[in-house]
Amino acid sequence: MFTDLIAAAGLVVAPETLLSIVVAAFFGFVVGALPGLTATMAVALLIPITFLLSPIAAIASIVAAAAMSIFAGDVPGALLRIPGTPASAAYMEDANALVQKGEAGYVIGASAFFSMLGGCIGTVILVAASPILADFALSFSSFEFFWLGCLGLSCAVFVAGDDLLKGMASLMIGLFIACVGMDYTTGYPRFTFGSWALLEGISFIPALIGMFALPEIFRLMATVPRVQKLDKGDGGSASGKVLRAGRRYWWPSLRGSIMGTAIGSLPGAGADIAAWISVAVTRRFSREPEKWGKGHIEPIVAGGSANNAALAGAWIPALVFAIPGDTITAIAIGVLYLKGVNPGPMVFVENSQMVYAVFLVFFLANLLLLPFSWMAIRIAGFVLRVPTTIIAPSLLVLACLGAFAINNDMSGLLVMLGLGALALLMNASGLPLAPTVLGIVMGRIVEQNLMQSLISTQGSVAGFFERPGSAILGILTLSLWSFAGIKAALNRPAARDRRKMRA
Amino acid sequence: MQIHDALIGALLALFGAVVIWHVGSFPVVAGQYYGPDLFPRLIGAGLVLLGGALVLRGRARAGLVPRLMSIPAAFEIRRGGMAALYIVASVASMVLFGEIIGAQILILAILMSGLLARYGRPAVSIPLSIALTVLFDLTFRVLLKVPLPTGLLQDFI
Repeated sequence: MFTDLIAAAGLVVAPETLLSIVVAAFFGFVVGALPGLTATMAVALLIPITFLLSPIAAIASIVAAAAMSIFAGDVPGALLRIPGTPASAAYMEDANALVQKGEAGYVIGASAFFSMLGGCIGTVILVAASPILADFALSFSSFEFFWLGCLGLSCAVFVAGDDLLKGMASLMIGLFIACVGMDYTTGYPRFTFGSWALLEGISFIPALIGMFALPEIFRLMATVPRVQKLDKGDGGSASGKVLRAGRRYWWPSLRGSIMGTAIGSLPGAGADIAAWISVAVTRRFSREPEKWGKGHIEPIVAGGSANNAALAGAWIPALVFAIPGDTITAIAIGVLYLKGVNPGPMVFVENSQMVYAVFLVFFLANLLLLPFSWMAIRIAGFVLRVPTTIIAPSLLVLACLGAFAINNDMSGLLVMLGLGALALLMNASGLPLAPTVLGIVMGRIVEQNLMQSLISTQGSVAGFFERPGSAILGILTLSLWSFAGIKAALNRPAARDRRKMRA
Repeated sequence: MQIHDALIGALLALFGAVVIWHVGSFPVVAGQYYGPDLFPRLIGAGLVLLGGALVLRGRARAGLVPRLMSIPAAFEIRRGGMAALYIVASVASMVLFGEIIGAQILILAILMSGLLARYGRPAVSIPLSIALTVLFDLTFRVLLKVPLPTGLLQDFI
């Protein structure tokens, strides 16, 4: 093993590999920071270049671009309230609120530091436990995935804030949007109104841009022009504050990293879901729930750690069983095959140097987040000084280009416009946007697994509790829903008044 | 603008009812217990229930006839209307004329109209619009290989 590790280190420090990592990281940073362009797109755009590279340099560039673009997605989210990637949307409110308090350096620094930490912890887990975790994930059937999806949806209750009713209504809107398109079991077009563009469903990148960017652009255009005057911040260096946050919130970071790795290792569940669930769970157990939504660092710690850890987690089934954990590893598996490396259990025997090199590349790519965050902080200082009257039209063009780029199709712009209008209506009604996004992201997964399970049991609901794993997850989900319902009922104003009178 | 819980609740409940009614027309698959209508039907029922609960809560909090909507001042409506018109017109022009005229010309038009209307200072706005158009085109079309329609500029780009 030790000689393999030394040989792998030799492969990684080769000038070609190091140069690929730096160039791909920069590329990933640019793509991730542009709203609408995802980590998957960054990796997909790299494929033609990987043909020219050695196998390890090719994989290194994929890993570096993915890690960097996931982190870079936090930058426009924090500065302009437009999430670069769906994962960033989970903690964007607090990140932007902190930027408004003059803490842009702190936010971006913390995002990079905890992303790096999450990525490294995820890699350690990938190295240590990949066969065990992959085996565990493979034992999941549609029943377990259905309950897991429901558990994920339950997070809407936690991310919605105090108003459970509005949070659930908002979640239903998101789930309905996820229903648009061809039905999973029969291929019947639902709510498409004859449009071929909607057959594939509503792509959530234009949806996300519409829901977050358009209301912001509208606000900037509709209000009196002003130069952004931010508060001074608390004083002290950003790095000092990041380290203090690291000491104070080490447990949310560690928990987010572990959860992110575990969720990332489940096929179909990627960094986006990992970030949302980690933020929701951290909010549930936070000692300072009153600070959430007003510019608190804890969600950034939890979400940032989870999304980069999930990237490492997705490599567990990819390397061990050649089953992609997400779209990025699906592309990576294709590149590995092209390079003559066959992922699967035998890769650890036949190509152990390659496997160790991948592990080392993960560490290197995550460590690179820190110098890139320094660059992002410099850019942030410039962006925040630009008048809003210049920012708004530029953002509108950027939003249009991002919505177009995801499918190279103008229909993305209509989706963006429609959901932007919906978001304005929801804002005016006090309906939170986060549960809707969660519904759009997870709706299809939940429905597919529900239908698959019902078909396999011929319509019997009892089948959802027959397998041990499924029964545990089912009981857990139902208990959580009952608990949330009881808590909401007890917190109703009338119930509170009755309790006060009795006291 | 603020919309009262009772009004948004009623809209959601109505929408849920429409969803339930619409999914009734979905085909039934022979040999299958549940069809493509199951999931949207559940969501429709959820919307009816939650919308109804919002109506009841809104009514309980605000008396029998709550004020359903707060209307902003006239100048805010005017500004909001202009902003909405700019956004809708920009997006619609990209969708309708993107292929014919080309994304680059439309981006320039969107930027220039937006900057001149809001920032003013033509000496800054016009060169800035051109520079931003070139930057966006280079980033998306050249660097990221996004096939932006070039329209009238096809022979030049």
